[in-house]
Amino acid sequence: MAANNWIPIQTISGAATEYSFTSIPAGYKSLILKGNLQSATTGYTVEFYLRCNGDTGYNYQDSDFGYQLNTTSLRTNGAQSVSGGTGGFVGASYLGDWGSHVEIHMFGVDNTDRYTTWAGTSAVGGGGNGYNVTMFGGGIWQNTASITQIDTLALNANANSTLTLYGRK
Amino acid sequence: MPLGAFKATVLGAAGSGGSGEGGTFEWIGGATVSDSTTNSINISGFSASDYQEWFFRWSFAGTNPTDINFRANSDTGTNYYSNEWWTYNSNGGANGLSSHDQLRMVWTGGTSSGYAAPVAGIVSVSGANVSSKPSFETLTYRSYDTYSGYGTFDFGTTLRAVSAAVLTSVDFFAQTPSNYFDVGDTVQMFGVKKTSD
Repeated sequence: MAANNWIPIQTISGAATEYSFTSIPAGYKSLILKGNLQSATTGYTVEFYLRCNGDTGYNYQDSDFGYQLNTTSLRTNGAQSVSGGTGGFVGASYLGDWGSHVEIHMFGVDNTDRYTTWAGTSAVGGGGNGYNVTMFGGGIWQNTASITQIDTLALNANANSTLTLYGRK
Repeated sequence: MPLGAFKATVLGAAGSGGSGEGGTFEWIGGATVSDSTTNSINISGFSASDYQEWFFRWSFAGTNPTDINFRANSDTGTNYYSNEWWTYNSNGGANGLSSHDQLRMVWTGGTSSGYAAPVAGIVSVSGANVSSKPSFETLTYRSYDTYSGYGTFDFGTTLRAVSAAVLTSVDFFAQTPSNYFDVGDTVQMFGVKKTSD
């Protein structure tokens, strides 16, 4: 029964400045991004964002909360009129082979009465003195168009990264 | 098999899907406790090569309160790098454990036998069928108990620092071995197939 499926649309793996899922077919009630990501950007952790249909304008809202880096201080953040919504937080170049679990559920993707909205989690353990991620994040693209393309922003994926786009009918 | 352990072997994936589009989300297998002296649940025998995503859903009655922990591939070595944060009522906390031998999925601090609080959670896995180190993400809710006055939500994660660690088995077990699970406590495993049936 297709309605119960996670239908794989496209998998992108390996080193790339950004991952771009293009020519996304119509007909899905929701889209899911799930994978294991790490950034090659210098640092311990990196926040990456999502953009829709190639829109680079300030047409997004985003928010996130949870813990990341090596602190026990709760991070809370939200912004309107930004150029991408939060995709997640992943480990960066200082962490070696230390991939983060990322899972993002997107709704309103083929509903022209609704903005596209997403919510997700990202997580990787770093241990007691290490750098870690346990974050909730989400975003809104303030546009009711059907989704045909999803791009990451500020990801800079390393060679071990992989991310799959699934659709649910 | 140690005393108190419950072992389930998956002999064949259930479900058919058969949409022809691939990506069938299906139940793989599970285990439900059937006696009063079980303190761990093992699921094994599934084929990692058939799936590209993994999920576990679990639900325990919590008559004997204890932290619920998780291991992959029966690995009791110090390969787990875990972090978690939790909220209980209007409070919260965070914790990290390096070179640990397990992932804790819920904190049950301040509890006492006889103060049951049902607990349930999900585990989502990535990197479990490729040649990198897998990451496990857990979200768990434990309902309020009148002894501690706590109702706990816990967001935990661990990196198992073993490369090429294709997932072959999982264990859910009680932190305090004498705090047995309840009859009916259950762990169920789901996956997304790589190809269509």
